[in-house]
Amino acid sequence: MTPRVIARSRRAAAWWLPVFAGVLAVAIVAGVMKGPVPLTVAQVLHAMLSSAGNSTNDIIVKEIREPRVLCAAFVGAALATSGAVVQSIFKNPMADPGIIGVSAGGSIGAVLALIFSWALRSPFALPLAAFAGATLAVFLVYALATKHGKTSLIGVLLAGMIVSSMLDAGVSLALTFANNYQLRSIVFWLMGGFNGDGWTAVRLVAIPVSVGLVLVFTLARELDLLQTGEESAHSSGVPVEWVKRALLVLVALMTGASVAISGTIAFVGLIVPHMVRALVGPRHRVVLPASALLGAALLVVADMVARTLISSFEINVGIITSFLGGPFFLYLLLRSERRLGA
Amino acid sequence: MLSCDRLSFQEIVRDVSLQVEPGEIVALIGPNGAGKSTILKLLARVLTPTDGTVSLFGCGLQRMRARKRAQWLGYLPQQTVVDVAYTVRDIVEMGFYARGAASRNSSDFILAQVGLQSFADRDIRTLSGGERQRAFLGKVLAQDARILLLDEPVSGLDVGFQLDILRICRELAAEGRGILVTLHDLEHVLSYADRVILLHEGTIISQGLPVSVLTGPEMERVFGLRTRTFRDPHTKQPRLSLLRVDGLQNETPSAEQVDGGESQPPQPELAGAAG
Repeated sequence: MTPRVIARSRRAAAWWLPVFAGVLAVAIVAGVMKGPVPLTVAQVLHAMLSSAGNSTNDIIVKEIREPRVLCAAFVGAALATSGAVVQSIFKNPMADPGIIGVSAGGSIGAVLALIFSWALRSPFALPLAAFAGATLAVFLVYALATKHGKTSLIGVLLAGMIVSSMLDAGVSLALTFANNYQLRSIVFWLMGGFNGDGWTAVRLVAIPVSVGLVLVFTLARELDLLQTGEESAHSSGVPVEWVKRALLVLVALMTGASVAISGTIAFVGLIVPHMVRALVGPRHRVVLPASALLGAALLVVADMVARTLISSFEINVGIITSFLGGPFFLYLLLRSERRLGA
Repeated sequence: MLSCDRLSFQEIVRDVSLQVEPGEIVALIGPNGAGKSTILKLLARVLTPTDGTVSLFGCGLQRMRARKRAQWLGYLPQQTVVDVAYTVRDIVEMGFYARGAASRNSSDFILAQVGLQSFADRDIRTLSGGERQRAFLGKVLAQDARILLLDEPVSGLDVGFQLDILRICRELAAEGRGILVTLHDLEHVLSYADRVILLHEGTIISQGLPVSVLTGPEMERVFGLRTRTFRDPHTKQPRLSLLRVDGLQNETPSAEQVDGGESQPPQPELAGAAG
C-alpha cells in the first residue's frame, strides 16, 4: 500500500477523540453489565452514578465489577500509550513497552513476593514488589545504555533484551523451586488478569497512570520532532537527552504500575498504537490521547470476553489479547511486506 | 555573532577559529571529507568538541538551554530522512517549537518562501529529495533564528531552485541574519558569498573575500584546480574559469576546460593571475 499522497486533514483526526471516548464509555457500561448476574443498563447506571444503594445489584456493581472494569481501563490506557511512546522513540513499529525491561522486572518482583509469601503480610506486598522490580529493571537498562549523559536508543534495545532474558530466566528458576500452590499463583499472574481486583487495586494504579498520561501528553510536540531525527529535533530546540529520559521514566511508571496489579498483558501496547495511527495520522497530540482511550476500551472489552466466554470459568485476559494479537501482528507483517515489495 | 575558538574534534577538525556576523553570508568550502559538515555540527552543538569553545552572542553555547539556543541559532543538516506520514505543513510548523505556537498564516508565508505552497498537505514521504530539502529549510526558517548554519542546502536541487534558495539566503542576510553555508558550486560561492573559508583536512588554510580565496594558490593544492576570474561580458559579473590539473588522467596539465564561457583557455603560465 503506497503512502497516501494527500495526508489526512488535521481537523478530521481530532474528531476521533470524542468517538473513542464514546466507545470507552459504552465499553465500561457493557463491562459492568456482563457477568454471572446479568444487569440492565439502567441498573448499571443507577448503581454507578448514585452513591447510596444497598441492593444486591448495587453491591455487585460497586464492589466487584466497577473497580475491576476501572482497573482494566487504566491498565489498557497505560499500556497503549506506553506502546505509542516506545514505538515513536525507537522508531520501531514492532516495539512494545516490555522492551525496556519493565515486564520482566515486574515479573521477577511478583514471583519473589509469591515464593516468599510476602502477600500474606500485606495486600500491598505483591503489587509493590512487582512495581519495585519493574522500576529497578528499567533503571538497570538505562544505566547500561547511557554513557557520558547520552542515552543510545540501540543500547536501550540491547540492554532491554539482555535484562529481560536474564530476569525471565530468574522467573523460570523460581518456578523450579515453587510448590504446587505457588506454581499455580505464579503462572496465573504471568498470564495477566484482573481477577479479584477491587478498589485497592484501582487506588494503586489510578495515580501513577493518570500522572504518567498527563505528563506524556505534554511531550507530544517533542515526540513529533524526534520522528524527524535526533539532529533535527536538537536543532529545533528540543532537549533531546532530557526528553528521552523523561519519556522512559514515564513509560516505566505507567507500565510498572499496570504490571503490578495485573501481571503481564501482551499485545495491547503493540497493537493499539497501530490501529490509532491508521485512523488519526501521526501527530502525537492526537495519537497519545487516542491510544489511551482506545487501549482502555479494548482491554475492558477483552476482560469482559475473558470473564464471560465460558460460563463458569474465567480465562485470563492475557490469553484473549494474545489470541487477538497474533493475527493482527500477521496482518501488519503482510501489509508492510506488500508495501516493501510494491 | 557566532564564533568558535580553536575548535577541535578527534582527528577530523583541528584548531578551527571562525566567526559569522549578522548580515553576512559566509561560504565554507573544501573537498569531501575536509570536515565541513563536522564543523557545522560542532557549531550547532549536535556534536561536542574535544577541544575549543563555541559562543553565540558572547554566551558559551554549552551553557545555553536548548530552546533558547534554537531561537538564535538554526541548523539544517545535510540529510533528512522521515518515514512517518507528516505533511509538509507539519514539518514546517515543527520549526515553531522554539518560539511557541504556530499560526497558519506564518506557515503559509514560509511555505511560499520555499516554493511549497501547493505541497502543504502532501505526505512528506512522497516528496523528492530536493522538495524534502526545501521543506526542512522551511522548518529552519520557521525558527526565525539570527544565525543559520546550512549544510549543503542546494545540493540535489533543480538549478532554478538552487538560485531561489541562494536568493533567500541573500534576503535573510539583508534582514540582518548571519549565514554559514557549505557549498560545492564555486560559481555560487563567487556570486553569493561575502566571505569564503577554505577547509582542507580539518584546518582552515585560507579565508577572505571570494575573489582572493578562489584564485589563491591553495585552490590547486586542495582541489587540483587552477582558477582565474574574468568579467562576464554580458552581465559584467565576475565568473570563474577552472583548469583541472592533477586529475584522474594524471597527465601534466591537460587543457580540459571545465567552464565554457567566452574567455580564452588559460595557459598554465598565466594561471593564478588575479581576474
